Amino acid sequence: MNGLQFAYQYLVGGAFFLATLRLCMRPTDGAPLPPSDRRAVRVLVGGLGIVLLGHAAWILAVAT
Amino acid sequence: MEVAYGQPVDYVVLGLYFLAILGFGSFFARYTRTTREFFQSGQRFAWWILSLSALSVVVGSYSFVKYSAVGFRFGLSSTQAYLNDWFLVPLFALGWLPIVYYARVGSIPEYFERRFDRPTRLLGVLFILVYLVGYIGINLYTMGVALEAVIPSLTVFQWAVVVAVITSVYCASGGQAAVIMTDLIQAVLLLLAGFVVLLLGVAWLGAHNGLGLPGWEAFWSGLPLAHRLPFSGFAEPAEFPMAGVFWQDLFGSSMFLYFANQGMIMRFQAARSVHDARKAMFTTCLVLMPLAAVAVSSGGWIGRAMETWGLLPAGTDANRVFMAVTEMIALPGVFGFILAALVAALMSSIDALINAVAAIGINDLYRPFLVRNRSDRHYLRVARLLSLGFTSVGLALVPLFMAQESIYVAHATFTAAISPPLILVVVLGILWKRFSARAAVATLVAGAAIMAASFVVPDLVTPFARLHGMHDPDSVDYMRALYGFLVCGVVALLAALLWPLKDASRIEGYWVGTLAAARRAFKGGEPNDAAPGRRIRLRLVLAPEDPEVPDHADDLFPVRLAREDADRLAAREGDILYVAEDRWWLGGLRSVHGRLAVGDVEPGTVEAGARALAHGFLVAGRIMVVDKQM
Repeated sequence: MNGLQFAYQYLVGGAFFLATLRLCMRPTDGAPLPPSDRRAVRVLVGGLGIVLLGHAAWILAVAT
Repeated sequence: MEVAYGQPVDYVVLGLYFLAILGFGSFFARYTRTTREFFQSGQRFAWWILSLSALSVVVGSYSFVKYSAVGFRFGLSSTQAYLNDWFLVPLFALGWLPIVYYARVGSIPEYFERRFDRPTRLLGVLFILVYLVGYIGINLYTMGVALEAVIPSLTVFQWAVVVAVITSVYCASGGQAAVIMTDLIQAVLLLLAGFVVLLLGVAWLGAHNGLGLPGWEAFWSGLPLAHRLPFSGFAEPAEFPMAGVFWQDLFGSSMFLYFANQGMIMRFQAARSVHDARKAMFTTCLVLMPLAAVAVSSGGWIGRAMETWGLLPAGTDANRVFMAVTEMIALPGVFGFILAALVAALMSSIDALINAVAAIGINDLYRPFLVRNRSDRHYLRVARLLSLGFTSVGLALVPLFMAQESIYVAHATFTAAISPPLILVVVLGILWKRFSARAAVATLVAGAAIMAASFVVPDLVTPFARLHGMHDPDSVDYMRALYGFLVCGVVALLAALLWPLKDASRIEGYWVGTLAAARRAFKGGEPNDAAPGRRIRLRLVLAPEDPEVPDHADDLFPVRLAREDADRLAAREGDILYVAEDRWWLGGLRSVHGRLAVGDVEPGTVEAGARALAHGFLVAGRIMVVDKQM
């Protein structure tokens, strides 16, 4: 019940999310990430967790 | 047979709303004195205004009608298109946004010229203008369809004319400030209306279900089990398969919205800092989009529960369910309010498009190619005329769109056709140093041809649908975005390998690997990242001298603080400060950016010249919030 859809969305979307996050974080001109960027990365990862857990909880609530 | 919804009092409410939004938007003409203010509002707004305003761009002209219809037919899975944008946020917030903000680019085509070359810019202008002007037409058309369904005394085209006149007048007079501030009101209104429909609907179900069930129980048990889940079937139904929605909405519509829709990008460029723009993006995607998903779908969900309980006439048209439900549950006057919210969703999409198309007209055609070296006042006047002119062109397209059989198909087809090559050029430009101008042109030209071919030979897309288990021809269109990204991506890859970028030094600041250089260029020196986010309150004092600010200073006025106040901010001479009135609800409307000069001023005060005060609409003697940006 929605398991395939959930897995598909978070595997494909999650791969895109992590790949772009990694690419945007590379400090190729030698400078470390500024503090505001580091804070943004924490919010981004936390936000992904919230969305993922929200969807999972919703499916489980309906299924049970 | 034509059915008119609502009572005369509802039409009065709607009329008052039209007048109020016209007056409110036009009021902001006083905040628009330069082309930079007309298009970017002087980069002064707080995150919460931009977040709500961005939401109203997302919730488009078709949203209430479309998602209520989807919610009626497929239940809570109507939210899935609104709940997956988070996957795009890293690339936007850490890549695209800081690049366009720090580079102060006036448009996407201007970015193309700086990152690639002039031919790429011209191709970008062609693509984006066709999209934007066409999209104004689609929005006016869908607006006309929605309003004609409610009040059939005016035709679709006549309604489109009414809305075009109102929207273009406040856009032309108030520019981006008017667009942002009216969209703020419209976003609140549309969220409020959606939840009013949900709560009134639940209460109505509680009163009429016949079994004495409480409202929420009647609502929930009125939805079939499959309608309660967050996703539709993976490959079925053909009209709304999850895999198709994922590719079309996320990698087609949403990606286009954030990376190639000039109106959306200008919205975030109006932020007072990159930090605030990111905060606006996070809030939009994480908080407001889920709320909006409920707001735009709730009419359909209530309709489905009503049908289960035998309270809705059998065979109700899904496309009219929002209006039918709303009229049943709302009192006279309240229905008018909800109608105004529907119109708000419609108008807030069009105003962003109008401002965006004027920006491209001025920044990418008129100023660089047609009439050069004129005063900013001249370009501002032409920008206002272009706002009216492009709206007229969009209006002229309405009769053409009236020939389309389905609003949803028309919108999706149009977006899917042009978005993959354009998005790929933006994304590869951001991420890949090697991606050259010749590769960008090849991707745009070949990509457009490949997308066009898929409309002539639909079987090109079929394998991508089959791969996902979609065998119904109706579902194939959903996979056009995936087809476009993969095939255009191969073209881009081959072109970049064949014609790699030779001199990377000229693209410094325009791709993610050089964002430190972008920040240095924005500040005009080494950024100061000590104690970020610290704010202090100081009294504004008028400086006795007011040195001229050179044109290239990008609105950074000299701002003087006492040494001890500068130390409280951990700020150094030359740092960029943001000075705003200490009334949070103004959201930065009265504010100015300045360059710190530490000097002999009274502690507890911030000193700025008359030009800075006039630029920021600030009044000496008032308390200001001062924070260091970098």
